[in-house]
Amino acid sequence: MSRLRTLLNSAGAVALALALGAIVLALSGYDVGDALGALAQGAVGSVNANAETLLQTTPLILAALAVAVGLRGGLFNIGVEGQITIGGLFAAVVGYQFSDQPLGSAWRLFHAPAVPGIVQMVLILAAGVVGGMLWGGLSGLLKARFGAHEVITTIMLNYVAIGLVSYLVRVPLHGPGPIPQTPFISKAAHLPILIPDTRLHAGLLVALAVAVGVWFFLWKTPWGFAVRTVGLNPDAAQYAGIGMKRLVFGTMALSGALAGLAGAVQIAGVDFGLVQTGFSSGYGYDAIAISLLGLNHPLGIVLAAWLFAALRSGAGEMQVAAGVSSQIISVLQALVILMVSAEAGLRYYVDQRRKKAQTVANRASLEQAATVPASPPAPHQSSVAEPTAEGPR
Amino acid sequence: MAPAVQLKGIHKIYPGVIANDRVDWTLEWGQIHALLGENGAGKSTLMNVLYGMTRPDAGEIHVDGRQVEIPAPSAAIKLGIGMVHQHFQLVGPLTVAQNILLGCEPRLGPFFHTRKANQRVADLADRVGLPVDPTARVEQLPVGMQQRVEILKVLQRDARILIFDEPTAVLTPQEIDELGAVMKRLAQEGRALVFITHKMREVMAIATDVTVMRAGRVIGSTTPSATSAGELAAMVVGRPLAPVAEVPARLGGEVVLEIRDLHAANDRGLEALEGVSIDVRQGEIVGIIGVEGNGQSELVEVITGLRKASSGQLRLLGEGIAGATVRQRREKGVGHVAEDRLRHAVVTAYSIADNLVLDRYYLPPYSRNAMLDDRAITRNGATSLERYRIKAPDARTPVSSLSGGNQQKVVVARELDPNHRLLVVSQPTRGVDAGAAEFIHDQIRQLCDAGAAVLLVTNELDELMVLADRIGVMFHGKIAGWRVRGSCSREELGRMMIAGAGSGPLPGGAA
Amino acid sequence: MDFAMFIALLAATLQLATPLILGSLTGIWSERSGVVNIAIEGIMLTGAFAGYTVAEQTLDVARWSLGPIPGNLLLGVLAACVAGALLALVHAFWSLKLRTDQIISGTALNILALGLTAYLLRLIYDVGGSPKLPSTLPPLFVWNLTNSHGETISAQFTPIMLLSLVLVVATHLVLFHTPWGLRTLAAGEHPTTVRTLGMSLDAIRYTNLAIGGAIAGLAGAFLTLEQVGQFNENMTAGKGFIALAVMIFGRWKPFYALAAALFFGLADASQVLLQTWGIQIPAEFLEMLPYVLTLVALMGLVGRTRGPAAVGQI
Repeated sequence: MSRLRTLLNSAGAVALALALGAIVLALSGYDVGDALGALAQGAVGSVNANAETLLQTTPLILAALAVAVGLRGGLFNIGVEGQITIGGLFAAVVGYQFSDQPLGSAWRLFHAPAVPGIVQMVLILAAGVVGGMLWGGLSGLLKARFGAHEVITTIMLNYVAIGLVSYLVRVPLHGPGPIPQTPFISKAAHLPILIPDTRLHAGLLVALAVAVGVWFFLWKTPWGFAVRTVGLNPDAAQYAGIGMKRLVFGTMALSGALAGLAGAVQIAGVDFGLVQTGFSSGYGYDAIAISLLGLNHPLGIVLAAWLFAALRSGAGEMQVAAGVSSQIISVLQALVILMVSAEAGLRYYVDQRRKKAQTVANRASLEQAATVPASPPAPHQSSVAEPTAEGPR
Repeated sequence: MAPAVQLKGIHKIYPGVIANDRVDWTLEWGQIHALLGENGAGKSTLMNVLYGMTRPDAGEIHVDGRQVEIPAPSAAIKLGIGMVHQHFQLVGPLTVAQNILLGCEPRLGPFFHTRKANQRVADLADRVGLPVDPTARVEQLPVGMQQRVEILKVLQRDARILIFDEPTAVLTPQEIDELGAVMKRLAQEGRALVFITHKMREVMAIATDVTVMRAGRVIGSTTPSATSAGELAAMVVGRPLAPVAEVPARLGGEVVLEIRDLHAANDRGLEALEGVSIDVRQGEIVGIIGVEGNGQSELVEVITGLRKASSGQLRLLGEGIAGATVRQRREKGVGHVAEDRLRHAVVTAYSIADNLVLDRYYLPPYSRNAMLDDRAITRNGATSLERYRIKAPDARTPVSSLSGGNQQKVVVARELDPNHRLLVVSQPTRGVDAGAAEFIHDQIRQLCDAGAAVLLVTNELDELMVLADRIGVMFHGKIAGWRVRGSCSREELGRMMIAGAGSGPLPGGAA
Repeated sequence: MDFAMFIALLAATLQLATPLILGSLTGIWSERSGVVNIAIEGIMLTGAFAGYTVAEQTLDVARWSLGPIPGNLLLGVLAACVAGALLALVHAFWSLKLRTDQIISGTALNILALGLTAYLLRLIYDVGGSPKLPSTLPPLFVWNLTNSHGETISAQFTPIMLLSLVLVVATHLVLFHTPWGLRTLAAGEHPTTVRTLGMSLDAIRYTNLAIGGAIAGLAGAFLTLEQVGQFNENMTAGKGFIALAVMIFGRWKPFYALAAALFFGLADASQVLLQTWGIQIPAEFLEMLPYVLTLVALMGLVGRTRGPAAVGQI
């Protein structure tokens, strides 16, 4: 019941955010009907539109799962953007070693034997996981070893990742041709296409499988239990014998690994090579909103990721057909976060009021029923319960 | 003359609990009126209503004969009501003068007038006979002195009605005597004083009047001279308490925990343990008492692995454990009932069943083949629910919805595991009602009889006197002396707590 | 390096440090009163946009001037401060009234500011982007010096740059030497004390956040109205986040934060210096330098510092 209620509440918050977005559009002088129509057309109006939306959903699911694992463990990973970038870097570099095309001036790290495409795919995705894990783990290490707050270190590492990639792609990894980008991975390593004549690739299945895996990890394994315990009450976790430093490091590394996988999926499924700037194009920031909207739960994340992907892919159509700047999407996303979090706050007040009314009602019925003076209720702590917020403190 | 305060029909409901049930209560000028009752009886709520921290759902407040509204503390302060809080409302990094004058600061142009502030506080301290150093930083003062700052803060605002919320909880017996003298002097000057407490002894020693509350209601009012401590206790609990059985102090068996010359620093890097040596034997309960901040918390943390020792030896059944992690120690059989339950011992969002495996979730039968076995965890929860009489619908109930006493039973159920060889228990009955406290004491005794060694750290002399076989008094990071239960008086222990004196022979202490 | 070069480097350093100084003061005002504010970046960006837009739109209206400062620019600066304060109040409302996690609320506002300013930029100025203002805030004084080669080097000291130094001193005085400051510290260290003394915790926190927001808005105005003369999408480029790091390095104290900001400014300004010394380092690495320095410093001195005790508690 309560799950259904939270789902409905979230849906309400999203509707409210969209309504506010519509007001912004109206105030800007656009025809709201036209704009939203174009948005819907671009998001779900055709087979290709649906495929494009699902294509965008894929990295968003993985990136949001990265955020969620962190939040469940009490860590706010704003560095998903950077971890995606480093994951993409590792994936691209490993991937192009297998290419049979000239590499230009790009570094050749090893002479790859000719292996089947499936092996290349696995190696590319694994490389992305390793890259993201390193980048996320670095923040975890800084927190575990030096107590440096992960919000600051992950933000800093985002900039370092972007700078690093920008340099590497411009100079030592510069593939053939004038554009600064790495050489492409071989055709055999491309993730298979799910729907013919669209770009939708098998990465979506990978993302869905990983979502199930994350759910299983968090709620069905002892390590997941430890992660959630640390997230809910780090002092109690320490007291119960959970090794905090290792766990903080492990959670950040896992979070980074998921983000790195998102980067690798983009390389193997869509981009096939790494460009100098804008590789992740804000997936890491969208992921925060998606994770919050999905209540840091894999199922919620899959749904929220689809919603955000629909907005993203509809935005292009809206820009072309209705002339609305696609930047409105960021505004919508921020409004969604604000509305969802406001809803949690409002629910707290409503709950307080309801419980109180309940007590009064109980009391009244008790007194009516009693023919002899009722014995006083059992003593309780008279403290008001704090809301048990999910997520970081 | 009209009474200082008259409360009529005060009614206050919190979600799920009626904190004050149509309470009528009167406070006269010149009284020192004790509000007596267990935790959760509604004393604090009533006083929060009077101080404007809580709005009542119904009822009238009359101050000095006039009906008044007190929507906020500022209104209470204007009416001459002041509150000395149990948890001091002091800003650590600020000075004594800044704390006392916060909100009514002397100014020099737009600036805080430091010289005038210091002078004003010095004058006030002089006038009321509570000397303090206005320029000292509050966080560097001892607890008794901090309380003095709290009292001065209230008097500075010309309070004529003073509320003391559990003022003695953190004081030594001698500091309590001093506080009693100060309170009597304030009352003699015509003020009206209320103090919230659950200790009979203080009611008998300090109060001129006493009102007993239970489950949100006033049970009755009387004067200490017209009643006895036993009678009051029965009123508080609602039934006569079973007399404490005189169990002779036990002699322990083999040494389970051996501590030698232990040193450790506190959170601020200052030395908190300065050479502690203790032996705890199988089948005995060793009690440790001391004024808060003399190293007891740090001692517990070092033994259980939450804090690193800087030097010294720590052996469990002869094996050195100073370098072991919390988990390693727990696996070797160390149980720990933590001092601050909600902060350390439970995850309130988790169910009872999950909390019961908080330290062993990764071991069979709760985890097998890298998977949690929810059924085993729930089954274990159901068993404990019954055995420890935890009041909850089922083992999947979240701990957040339990009362304090039942939460503590969950902790006790986990930590008093029969496999534990050493049990470190810190303030086991804090914030727990009398029935649950009795139950918890029984369980500790049973575990000890079954062969565990127990180290009990508490601030409650009464708890120590019924449970501990040997009592060590901590003072300035050392054990000031040992006493065997039955061969020492409360006064003697009190003296040792405040002065560290009386460290004569050390019966049964560390060799 | 001679004296003239030194002064020129100092002026360049101060100029690069100005948004960081102001941003860190924003952080100090809010965190000292007990509210985490990671929305500095977004507030700065909003201030930059509001300041520019108002200055640009009033170009033909506000033809008066105050001393050397054109009226439209003055209006722009005011608008930037007001916009900053308003956004900070949104953060306050969400975190204090609606009990949203303060980091989440701050993150949402950063995303909102980024999206909304870019959206409005397109809406108002279309694809062409913002036209450059005919003038930016003029220097209040110029120091002309001659270097060893006999060339004239002038160090310029502009209004907001100098104002940032004034605000450092003012913040220090208010926080540590006025009744308001004591109450602010109390709110950040032990909020219930404030309540039990009959003062309004909310009044203290909302006010401090608004003041902090106005200062971050001023930092935005510095970027558009004093430095560049136009608004570009995401032109703060992470300065708000570095300001956060500066605040932590500065241990929540204005003068220490000033020193930390100057250090970052120097790291930035030294790019020029390195080039004059003929040292070739890829531009990307120089751009990364402040971030790497932050990480290194977090490992060293700052990991163990302590902020206001009650930050984040409602």
